[in-house]
Amino acid sequence: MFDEKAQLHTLEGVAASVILLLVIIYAIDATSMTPLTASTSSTHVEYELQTLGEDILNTLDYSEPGYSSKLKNDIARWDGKEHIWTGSDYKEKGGTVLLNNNLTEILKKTLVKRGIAYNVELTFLDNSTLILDTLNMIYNGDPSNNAVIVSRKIVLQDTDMVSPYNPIGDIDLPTNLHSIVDVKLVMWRM
Amino acid sequence: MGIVQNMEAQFMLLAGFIIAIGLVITTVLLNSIIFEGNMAIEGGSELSKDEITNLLQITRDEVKSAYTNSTALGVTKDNAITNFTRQLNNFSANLSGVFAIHGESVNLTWDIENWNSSIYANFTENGMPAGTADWTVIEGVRNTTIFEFSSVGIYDYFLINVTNSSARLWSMNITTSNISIFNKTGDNTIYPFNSYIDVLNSSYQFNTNTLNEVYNINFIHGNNSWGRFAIEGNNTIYYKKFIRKRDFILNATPIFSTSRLIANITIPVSVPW
Repeated sequence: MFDEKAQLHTLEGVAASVILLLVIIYAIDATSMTPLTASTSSTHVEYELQTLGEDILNTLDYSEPGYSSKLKNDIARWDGKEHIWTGSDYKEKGGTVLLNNNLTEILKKTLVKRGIAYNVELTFLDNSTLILDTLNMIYNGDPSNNAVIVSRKIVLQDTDMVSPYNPIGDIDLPTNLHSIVDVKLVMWRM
Repeated sequence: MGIVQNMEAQFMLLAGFIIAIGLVITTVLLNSIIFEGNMAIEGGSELSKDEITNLLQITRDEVKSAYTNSTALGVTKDNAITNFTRQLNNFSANLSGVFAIHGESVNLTWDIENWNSSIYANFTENGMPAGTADWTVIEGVRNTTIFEFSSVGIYDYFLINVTNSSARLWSMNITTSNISIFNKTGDNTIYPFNSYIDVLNSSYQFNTNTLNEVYNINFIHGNNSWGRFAIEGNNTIYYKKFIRKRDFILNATPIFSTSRLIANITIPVSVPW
């Protein structure tokens, strides 16, 4: 059976469906996230967070010749406890001891004021197994999917270590090298 | 006149329409493919600018620390070099472990030829012969507790100029034959050249000319002179102590590699500070 009308209708149907598909794709593209879209997942916001975090770590990691940076001093003096932001202080998890150092000072003035959530993690080599170990210095919850991580590596010498409770072990006993620590600042919008 | 029923014309119109849409889709797809194909290889997994800066910084810090630790008092040069090499070897090995978490490999090589052969740094800003010859070593000094030069070598002259905000307070011009001191009032005293110079020696009148002053210490014409120097004292900013000390320039080269690329950067490191 030969029916030109049916063929024509089929072709018209195909053409109409393609047009509809293109319209839907165009509509989705036109209304997706732009750098100025008020959304916590925009790339622009993530970039801003990254710049802010890098600035914080750069500021803390500066040192005069012959001196250790503020960041290095904070890590060397850490007692190994995890601390939580209570709204006014960084309190030891399950305890009452407060954490007050250069890092908490700058975090209060920057991230807390802007309503940005954050964690501070320290990654270092375990001195017995030489496998990387990660501990939280400040923990405020699980980061969201669009969290930004900035990190800064610092080298600790035996002579820098002042806290007997510091969990960062000596990875090189014969020399003054103590450990290499990766300080990670994880930030996300709430 | 009635409507002309012509199905072939309708077919042609529809076919043309579908071909046009097909062309648009093909162009968009092709554009996407070309864009993706020209993206930097492993752009996401390469070290960022910040990470490279950090790597250079910890390398510089570790070379300085290893030098300071290994050159403690009473250690021979050979033992010091052995200790320095051991510490940097261990640092390099552990550095790889820390960077491995990012899928990158980092190694470190270093060159201590200057130290081994006692080739001292120039008195330029970065210690290299081509470095800035006229520069300010430290600003806002309240008082100086150590100011020494040793193993000094001079090609023509080297000038140490101490100034406050308005005028020259004191200067020392070192030539191959003598050391010439100019005090605050412009009087000139000449002493014979010595490769060891303790600037705070009372005969050089440094303290008497800088007492109760806030001053800057400047090195002039540092490119044609070399040796060790050590300056310590108190700064006006928060009454903080300062240290400026240099013996040699050592070269350190961090090498980082991913599965597709290898790069290395050689940096001159002024030791001990």
